[in-house]
Amino acid sequence: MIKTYLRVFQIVVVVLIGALAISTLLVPEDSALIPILRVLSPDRFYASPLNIALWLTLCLVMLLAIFLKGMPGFAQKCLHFLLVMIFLLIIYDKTVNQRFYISIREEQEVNFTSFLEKPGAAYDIPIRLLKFDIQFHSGTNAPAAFTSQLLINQTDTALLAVNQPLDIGRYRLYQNAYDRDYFVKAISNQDTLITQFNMPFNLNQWEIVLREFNVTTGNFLVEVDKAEYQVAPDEISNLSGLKIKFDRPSPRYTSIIEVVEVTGVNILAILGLMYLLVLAYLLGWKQSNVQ
Amino acid sequence: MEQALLLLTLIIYLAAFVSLITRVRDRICHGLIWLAILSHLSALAFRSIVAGHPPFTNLYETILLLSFLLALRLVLWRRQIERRYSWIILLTIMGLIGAALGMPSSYKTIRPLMPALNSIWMYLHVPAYFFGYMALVLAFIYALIFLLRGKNESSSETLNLIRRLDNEVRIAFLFLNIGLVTGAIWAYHSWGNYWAWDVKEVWALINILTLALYFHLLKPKGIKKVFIVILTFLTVVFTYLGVSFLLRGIHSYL
Repeated sequence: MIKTYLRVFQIVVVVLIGALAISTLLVPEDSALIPILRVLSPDRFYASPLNIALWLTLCLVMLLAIFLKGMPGFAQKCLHFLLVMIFLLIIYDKTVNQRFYISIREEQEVNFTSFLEKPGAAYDIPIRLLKFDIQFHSGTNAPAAFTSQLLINQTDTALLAVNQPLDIGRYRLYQNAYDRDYFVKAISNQDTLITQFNMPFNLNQWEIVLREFNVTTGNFLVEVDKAEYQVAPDEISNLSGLKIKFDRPSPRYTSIIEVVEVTGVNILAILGLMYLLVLAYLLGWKQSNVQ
Repeated sequence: MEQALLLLTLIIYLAAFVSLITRVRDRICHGLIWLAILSHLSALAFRSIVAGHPPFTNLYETILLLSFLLALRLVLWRRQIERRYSWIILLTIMGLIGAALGMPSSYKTIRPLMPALNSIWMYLHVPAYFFGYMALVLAFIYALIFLLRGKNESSSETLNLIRRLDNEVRIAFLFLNIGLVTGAIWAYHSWGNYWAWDVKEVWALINILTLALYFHLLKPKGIKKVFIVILTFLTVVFTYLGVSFLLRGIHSYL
């Protein structure tokens, strides 16, 4: 019996290794060229029934070996049982759990329930991004840390930072990333307008587009009725009869928050650590092959 | 300063290598290796102080870390490594340091740490992997020696070699698993996702699955074990270098 289990285990593992390796070497476009590779394409394979079937087969082989005397020693049975639990929980986590992203600009409010597959009254919670803070490594544009100060349900403030998630019921929020664009305040006569680069806007009869801000020259490139001008910031300029002033560009941040449904799979960490302990015992103290 | 220290380290390792192959007394040889380790550690410490983080965030730093771990293994666990194989390990260490020194300066540039890397788990996850890689390098060396010998598998020398191979593989397997599990826990803390099918994660899993075959052989003969070790070593090299250069994912740290 042991030989059978080992042989089946070897076959399944070799097939898995091959499939996983090929999937990483393909790009989704390859499946368009060679349709038979579609099943192994990285955008399909990992969530596919084939991948799940391979892992379930591995779990089945291990369970049969554990319970039908295919494995000597309690420690080995324990090790493989822990592995089965870990694989099954990961399959469950990947197939069942909800996971999505929320992008919120500063001072913007979103409703949490609008993102859920199954909206419910319990999660009819407005979330407002009060302030997005970012610190850069000195002398660089690389972020050292960034945080989102959130107002949850119009009453509770909370700080969301990288590696410091927040819980809302059975959902956990992670500070995933951020986006940055620039806005510019344009003032002409009594009109004040907030605009962004490459977004046309109208002032009276003029059509204006702010093209770019040249960091070297410190000037804007502005298009007024298709004519281009170099315009200094914070100064009133006369452009084809239009008197206008542009303030220096200001960054506006959008916080990108990843939301994950937590369904108790955080026991995976405990199972993982238990697995390591048993493995260390088997490999360290027991000198024989793990079969 | 760091480059000067590394050059000094390389020179001292070379001196140790020469003393080893010319059969100079053990004490002198080990003294030289210890001196080299001290110099090596100084270079790593200098790098860490200047960078503001430990030296395992890019290819250059991890090559230096790997060579350092190999050197430590050579002196701290001397009894597990026969003197007649020590020259190969020294040669490997020198090769790694030479490769690091010869890298373009863009690879050596200190880059600021991403916010997600600012975690206690980095101090467990990365060193665990490199401890595993260190053991796998030694296993690979024993595997090559086995192949080059081509002697009777039942001879006492070959059995001794296989026993040492078993030892290294057990260490490698344990630490590769520690690296994988700590990485998964770290990913859960940072991104709420134990497993994201990132290319590096997939190849790390391939490494473990391949090495797991070592422990699940029907007839665990030396040649089969050697084949699995060589295959695992190749997958680890691909994981370490190939994934970063050829494939892209969140683990592309060059």
